Amino acid sequence: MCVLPLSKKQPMSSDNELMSRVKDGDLDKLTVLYERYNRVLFGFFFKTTLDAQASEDLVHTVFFKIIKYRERYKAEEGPFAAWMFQIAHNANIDYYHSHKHARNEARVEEVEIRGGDDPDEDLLKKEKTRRVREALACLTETQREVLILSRYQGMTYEEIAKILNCRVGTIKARVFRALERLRCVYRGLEGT
Amino acid sequence: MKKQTTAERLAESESLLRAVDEMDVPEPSAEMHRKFQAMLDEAKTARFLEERSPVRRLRPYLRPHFGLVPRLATALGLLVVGWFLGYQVTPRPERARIDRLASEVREMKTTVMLAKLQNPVAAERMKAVGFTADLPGPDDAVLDALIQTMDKDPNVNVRLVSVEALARYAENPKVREALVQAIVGQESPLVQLALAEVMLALNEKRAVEPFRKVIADPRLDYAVKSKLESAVRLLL
Repeated sequence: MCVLPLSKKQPMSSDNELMSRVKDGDLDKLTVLYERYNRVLFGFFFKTTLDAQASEDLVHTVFFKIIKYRERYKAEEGPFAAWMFQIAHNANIDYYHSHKHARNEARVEEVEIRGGDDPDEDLLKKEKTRRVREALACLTETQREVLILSRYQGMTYEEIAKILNCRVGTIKARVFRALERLRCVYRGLEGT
Repeated sequence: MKKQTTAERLAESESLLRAVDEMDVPEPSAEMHRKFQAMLDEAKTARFLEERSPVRRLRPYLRPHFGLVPRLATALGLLVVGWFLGYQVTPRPERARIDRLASEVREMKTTVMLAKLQNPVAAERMKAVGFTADLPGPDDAVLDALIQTMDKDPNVNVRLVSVEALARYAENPKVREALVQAIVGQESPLVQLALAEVMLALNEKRAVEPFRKVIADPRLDYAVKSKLESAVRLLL
């Protein structure tokens, strides 16, 4: 699992320092932040959109907005990653608004699964991955996003609530509903 | 189907979440990294130009202790008083000489600017475009050269500063028409964004059709597409 240094227990000064330098006009420091976060963001977008090309465009949008709105960054308000994910969340909303007709019918791209030594195990894993991706594609974009943020990125509900600008209770309910729906859809796919 | 116990449901949920965690994600392409680097280079150039802008250099001296309108009124008042006093204390033959010199300087600047626009070095061409800011009411030859630079210059940064320079003379119908016509021809995202900002500032509704043509291009950058769609919505 890829864990982001979002919580206060982990050192964040380095990211914040770099972003503060970017804010002050030293744009080259953004390259370091890009190196640190481009794959994390790509993974987040890929699991919410299930589309590699769209995910690359969204990563580009996030860094474009980081440059454009760098003056608004305030290190004292929290970790850089939380600010970045707020931008990522807004980019996700824009993406779904401009692809409204494709909502809830996320295109499931085929991804080459790395093979192991046991062909039977590989086949089972491949089949499970395919079903999980299909089940994820049946969730709403909000459900996919909250589920992935809650789990994959190792964030706390408080941090997610701040990013998505809603209450902690709402986040808990959304995660629960998303998980229940994922489970139901997955069971349905297993039965087919 | 057998009814699941709570423990079974929990175990199934855990297993599913692990599968989501372990879902294979492809590697982002080299194109994504290249686009990031290009965007960063353009931002650095834009910042470099902004730092050299005289308005930015004056900004610390214009820091407000009071509101914008009183500051503008004070600045305008000082300008008028300064001009009036200067005019009154300057002898008449001196005035004629100053007018002649000003006209000669203006002609010289125009000539230098037009020559520099032909320079093979992009930085020199950018300087040449910057000269137009010092020209009070540039003539047709200067405007034509700027339009030609915006449309044809091989360097994106030169084209970008040309758009910004032309935007200052957008009240001229020829310039305005050239800015609208430029929308379809530009391929750089930064220039397309700059044109969108200018069209919005001018509330130029004739830009809607060219924007739609650009939006229809499937290769269009996602960020630019969003911006252009938003511009079309605002212009309609």
